Amino acid sequence: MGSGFTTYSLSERALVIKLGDTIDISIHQKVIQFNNKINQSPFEGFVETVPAYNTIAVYYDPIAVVHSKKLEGPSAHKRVEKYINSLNFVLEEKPVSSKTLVVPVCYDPEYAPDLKFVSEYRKLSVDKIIQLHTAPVYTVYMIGFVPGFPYLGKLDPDLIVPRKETPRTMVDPGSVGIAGEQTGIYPFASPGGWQLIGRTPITLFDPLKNEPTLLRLGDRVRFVPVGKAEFLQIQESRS
Amino acid sequence: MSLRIIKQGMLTTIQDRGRFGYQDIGVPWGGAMDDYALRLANLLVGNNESEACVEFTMAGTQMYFEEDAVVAFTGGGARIFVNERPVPLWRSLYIKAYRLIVLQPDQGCRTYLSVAGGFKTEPVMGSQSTYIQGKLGGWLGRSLIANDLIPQSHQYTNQNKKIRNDFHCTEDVAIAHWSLSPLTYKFYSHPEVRVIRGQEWDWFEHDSQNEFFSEEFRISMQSNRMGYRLDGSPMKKSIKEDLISSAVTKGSIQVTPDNNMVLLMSDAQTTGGYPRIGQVAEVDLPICAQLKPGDPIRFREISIGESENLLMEREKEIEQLKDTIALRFS
Repeated sequence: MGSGFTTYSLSERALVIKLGDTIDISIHQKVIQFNNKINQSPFEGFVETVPAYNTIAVYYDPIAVVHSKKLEGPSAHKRVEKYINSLNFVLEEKPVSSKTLVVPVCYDPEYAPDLKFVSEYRKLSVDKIIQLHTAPVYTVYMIGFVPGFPYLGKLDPDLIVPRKETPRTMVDPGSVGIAGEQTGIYPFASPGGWQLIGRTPITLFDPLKNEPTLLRLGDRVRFVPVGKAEFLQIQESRS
Repeated sequence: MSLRIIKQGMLTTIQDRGRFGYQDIGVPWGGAMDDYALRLANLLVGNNESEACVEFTMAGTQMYFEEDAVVAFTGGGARIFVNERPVPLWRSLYIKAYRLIVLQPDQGCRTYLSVAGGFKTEPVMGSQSTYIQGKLGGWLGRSLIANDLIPQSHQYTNQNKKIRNDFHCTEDVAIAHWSLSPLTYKFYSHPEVRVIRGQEWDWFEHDSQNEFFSEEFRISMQSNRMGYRLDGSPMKKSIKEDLISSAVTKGSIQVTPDNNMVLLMSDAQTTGGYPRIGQVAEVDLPICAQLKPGDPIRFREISIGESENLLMEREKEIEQLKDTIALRFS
């Protein structure tokens, strides 16, 4: 596959670039590289981007775009579309460098309310589930849902389970969930429909920090199982 | 020095025009539900249009200022009384210190209160907007409650000073001699909300597509600053694909697996995985912001080109309004 893409308007302030039709690490690499290119060469009126699995939403101020002397086209969305096409995006062979982080997870039943369900649904022992969940090095495909929530993939096919039929109205902060081909971490207390199989004692989102999120798009994550005592110790040392 | 809350009302928060630049880490733009009303509230007192205001959802709030204040109320969620005397919206007012301000129910849903100089709370990630779910911004990251004391800035613009000097307040409250043309807020009574087809429009059955633009829907009780659930005909999909999550924004209309529609509003999440049947034209979002549970809503189709033109026209009108106010107080 080349560097081909299509675009569509999400709103008067956002043009979406679509780079593929599947959840795939090579499509995601295109997302990361194209996203970097746009952010490194912003146009007049550029606001921000929202990169996801196979898309990048480019947000802009339509007033600034139509007043720009540099951009050409009959309307703001046409001007942005033209600019994006003019970037001549070419995929680099070498993947963008990213950091790999260790995230401790406690799989103790107290922190894993759905581990039993997953074990029964997949007919696998709890130990086997923990082993399968901690084996891969995951990629952050997207951050969304709530501030700092990382969508990590891909999950081992043996761990694929449906979402909860009725979402929980409140999920504890640090909860690690699985749903479909994805696993993720709830950064703070929020409603949630994923099956919860563990909890991390570390903080993923702090709005008062210069870098509010621990994880960024394209980062790699390795889960390491910890016991309850260790979980409490890490939690203690961080508060 | 400040605004004292006596009764919180239904939902009272500090909002500005939003928090930009953090959507890639999942932080929504947020900001005023009715951005237009917030901007005009600021212009009426001589503020920069993006200054933080108090957003009231429906009625019930009671409060007073601890010093004389030049303020404006805009929007449509409440009727305003100062020491039992009714005062107009869309007008600058001079309210004396320690006079009781009460919000009584009205037709709309949201009211904005600006104060000359602006409310002074600590910005978080570049914005004073309260994002309740993330417990950040505004006043301690939460809605206002009884006894909160919200400080106001005393850094006045020339326009702030001139508008203030124009008042001669001999009673509890004085109403400015000048006012906005009622045309400025006439569009709120428009019966239809204009919508652009969503990216997954083709996923829906022909009948559902027809019903979308011909039937009436109602704002459900399950509605808040994140979004409104809409009651009405189900929007049935002819394509049963799973959508890969991508960006959604204020005004996006998503269809959940139970075929119900959700209209995303200010505190909407940054990404979503449900098919989008439509996108409300930005110029009509203030109309949506003034709808409350039980209110009807109808959609009319326009193109992205048309909605962009409408937005340009709206911005031009606001620029003209700024010029007019500046000229009057130059």
